Amino acid sequence: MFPADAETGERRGRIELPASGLAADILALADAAAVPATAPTRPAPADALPVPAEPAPRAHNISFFAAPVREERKAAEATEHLATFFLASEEYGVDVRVVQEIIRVTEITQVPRAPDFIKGVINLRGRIIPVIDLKRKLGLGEVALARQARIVVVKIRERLLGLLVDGASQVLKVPVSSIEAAPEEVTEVDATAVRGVAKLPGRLIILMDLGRTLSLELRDQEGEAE
Amino acid sequence: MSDFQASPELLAIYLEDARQHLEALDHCLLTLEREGTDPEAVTAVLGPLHTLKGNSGMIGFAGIKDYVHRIEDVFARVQEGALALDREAFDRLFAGATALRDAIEQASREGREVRSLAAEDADLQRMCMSEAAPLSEAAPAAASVALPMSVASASAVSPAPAGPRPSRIESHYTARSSVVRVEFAQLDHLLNLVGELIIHRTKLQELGRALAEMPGAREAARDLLSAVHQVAGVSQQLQETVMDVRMLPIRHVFERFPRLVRDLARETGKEIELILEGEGTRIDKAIIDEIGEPLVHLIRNSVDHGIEPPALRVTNGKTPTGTILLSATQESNHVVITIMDDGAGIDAGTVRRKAVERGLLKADDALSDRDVVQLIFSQGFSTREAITGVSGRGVGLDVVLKSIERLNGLVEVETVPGVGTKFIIQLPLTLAIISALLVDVTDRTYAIPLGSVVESIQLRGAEVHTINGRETLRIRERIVPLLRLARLFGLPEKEQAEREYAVIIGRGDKRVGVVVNRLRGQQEVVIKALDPAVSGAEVAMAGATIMGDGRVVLILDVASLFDGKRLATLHGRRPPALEA
Amino acid sequence: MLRKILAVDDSALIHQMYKLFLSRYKNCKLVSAMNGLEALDKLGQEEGIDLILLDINMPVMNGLEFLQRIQKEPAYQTIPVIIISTEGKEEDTIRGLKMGAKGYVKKPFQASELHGLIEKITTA
Repeated sequence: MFPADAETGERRGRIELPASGLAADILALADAAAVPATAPTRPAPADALPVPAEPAPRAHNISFFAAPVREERKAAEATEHLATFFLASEEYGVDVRVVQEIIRVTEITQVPRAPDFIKGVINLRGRIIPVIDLKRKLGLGEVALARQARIVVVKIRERLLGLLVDGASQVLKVPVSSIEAAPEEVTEVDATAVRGVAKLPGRLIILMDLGRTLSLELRDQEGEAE
Repeated sequence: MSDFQASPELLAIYLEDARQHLEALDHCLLTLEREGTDPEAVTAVLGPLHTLKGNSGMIGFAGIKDYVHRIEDVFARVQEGALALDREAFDRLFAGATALRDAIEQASREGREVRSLAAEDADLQRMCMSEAAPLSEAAPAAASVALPMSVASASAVSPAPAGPRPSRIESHYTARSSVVRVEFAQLDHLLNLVGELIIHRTKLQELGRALAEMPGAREAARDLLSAVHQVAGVSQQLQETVMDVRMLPIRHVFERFPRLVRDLARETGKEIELILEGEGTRIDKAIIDEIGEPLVHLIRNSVDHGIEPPALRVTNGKTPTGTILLSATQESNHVVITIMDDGAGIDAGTVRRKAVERGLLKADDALSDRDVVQLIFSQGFSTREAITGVSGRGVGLDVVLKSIERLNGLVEVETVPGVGTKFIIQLPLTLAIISALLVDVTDRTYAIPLGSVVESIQLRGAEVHTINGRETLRIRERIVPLLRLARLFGLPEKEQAEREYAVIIGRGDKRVGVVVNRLRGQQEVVIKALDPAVSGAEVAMAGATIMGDGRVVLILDVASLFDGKRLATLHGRRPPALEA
Repeated sequence: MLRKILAVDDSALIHQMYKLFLSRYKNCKLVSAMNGLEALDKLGQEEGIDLILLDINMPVMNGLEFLQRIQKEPAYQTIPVIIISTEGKEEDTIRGLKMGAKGYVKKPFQASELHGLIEKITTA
């Protein structure tokens, strides 16, 4: 069995190799520099093998490699992917990536003496998640448990929360160019929760910053004052 | 520098890996310090260091990588016999290991290097360059000097039956592919799935029974029920197996303690021997994750206030080296962990005096010495001056009590002044499943952990006395305060309920009775955690469980029921206007 | 066309990084082993391994011994091997190259470095 390290003597006087290399190149140079590969004695101190000058090959050589990922990313930046829902007659949008699913309203178990915007908890396939009445949270009244009401299940920082809304709308991509900062007249909602407005033909989607809206709920346990 | 950004997942893997290597480093240092330059111990640590170096480089932490390389250098020299380690060298190496751990933890949290290790690096470099005495003269630190810490028997530290080499390092190296690393979250998920399986199986059973009622379907029903019975058997085994997989030996918690005791002993100038027993005792991982901190507090307590300085010990006829025994055993369905020291013990008189001072006790209260001592766990009762009159880095034992209770456990203390102190912690084997008593409050069902239930009795109006505005019940010789859960929860109270029940809940020797409308029976339930957003509610719930029909039932947090002041306010408060 | 790559390293972190770095090769399966012995097992189990990324310093069986063994097997000796070298172990790397490894890359390496080398070796 080969010993994994055959170091004897000083560590400083070792061979220096470039960051990477092909056997053919390195061995040719190694032979030329007369560096014994298996000899137990240490090699001549600080023998530096010249760095091969070639840079990594360019894109034209990647016939069987996947196309570089960079281009795809650029295209994606031009749109925002949203999931939208209704609170009263206004349409709100959140980043679709935080939305795990949208479900009909199931039996909500109340939690005694919870803040008024916490409607309760539900059983989501074996996991217990809190349901927040988004209208109460935003001071817009209360979500009626009508047939169209839905629970938008979002995942933020590894936590699952359910948002009770009046109705679900759709998932869509909006071009970034259609997004502007929210004008004050648009909504009575606390301005910090709204990060902008998407203007589409015949429709206005209020973009919500869930992190801000739910900042109290998302706060770490340790931060809670007694 | 690297063309990628280390994701949180990568950082988590790096950190977990690094922690193992750092443990190996600690172990090696402890062994070398104790037994002298053991060439095998040194070789055993070079591997982990090498991997740690490579990993740190790959993830982009160049400073850490260079420092690990420096430590490798030190050990390489030790191996060659070119460097001898004396007591001071060990101190520096231990300090260096701590600095490295800090740097790694911070860097992993932030995703980039935060703390510079330049000073420590220079320190080790100086150490390497100093003249090395020939090996034979560099007696192992153990030989001539009284060691501040030593592990009594090899078997206490390593599970291997013989030999001084800690097999913890070996097991890191065995790396057989018969072992699989699993994320704990996966095990939780498995448990959830098993839980759901049980729910569906119950439904099938009910269907089978309903079918049996229908004429002509009886035979089919019988077959169905028989098949469901098989499913029940398998799902039961599945549940037990998953629970079993979650159980880990408590060694995982214990193994940091030799190092901790060594450091604390050095700091306080005391001589302490730590003996570990029963490290193979298995306990649910969820508990292992939480029990470490309380144990650290208790050990610190023993070192700070228990064990006396060597000179004092000798004066009192004791050996100069104090002993702390940390042991774990399993008893029926608990794990019992004890921390015992042969130190100064706790003086009941001092505790009594301090308790009276703090208003926890009345001067003429006839509490036995043994019960008085339990008061050290009371809130606001700092053990600092209370026990020894010496102000030191005391730790709040009330915090320890809370942590242990959160795990559905108990803690007690036994002590003999001048002889020693023993803390006894009792923990359930698993957090995930408990026996619960289901009750109805108004029309809603809640669960009360059965372990806290002393008894339940039917309430007859006549027996309830109101004292100082609070309803109480007389049970045998005790007066037990009552809490009406409907009022506490802000639910409409049933007018003239035909029957009411009081469930008497105990904590230590305190009692409280909660008034409910129905007792629905006992059941094993799987506890599910509640999101912190919900646990912020004013009435504390310990968790929730899912019934056979998919309903969610909240589980009462028993400890919070004893928080008198807070509850009195809620209890007296009118319920908010209820929706239609 | 790379169908299967065998990565041999005793660090879970490195395997995770390989997953990241090699994700650009669509339809390529990444097989992992934690030491030389496991790697030999995997070679036996998985058909069609096109490339081996080999760490040297591993427990149970190190990279050089693994390399020595596969060089003796006609079925395996044609599979190109890239040695993942570390600072201080250059002699081992050179030894490995002499034993037939096609190239090496030094830790810490960047994704582009690895890709460049893989390309050079597999198009040769």
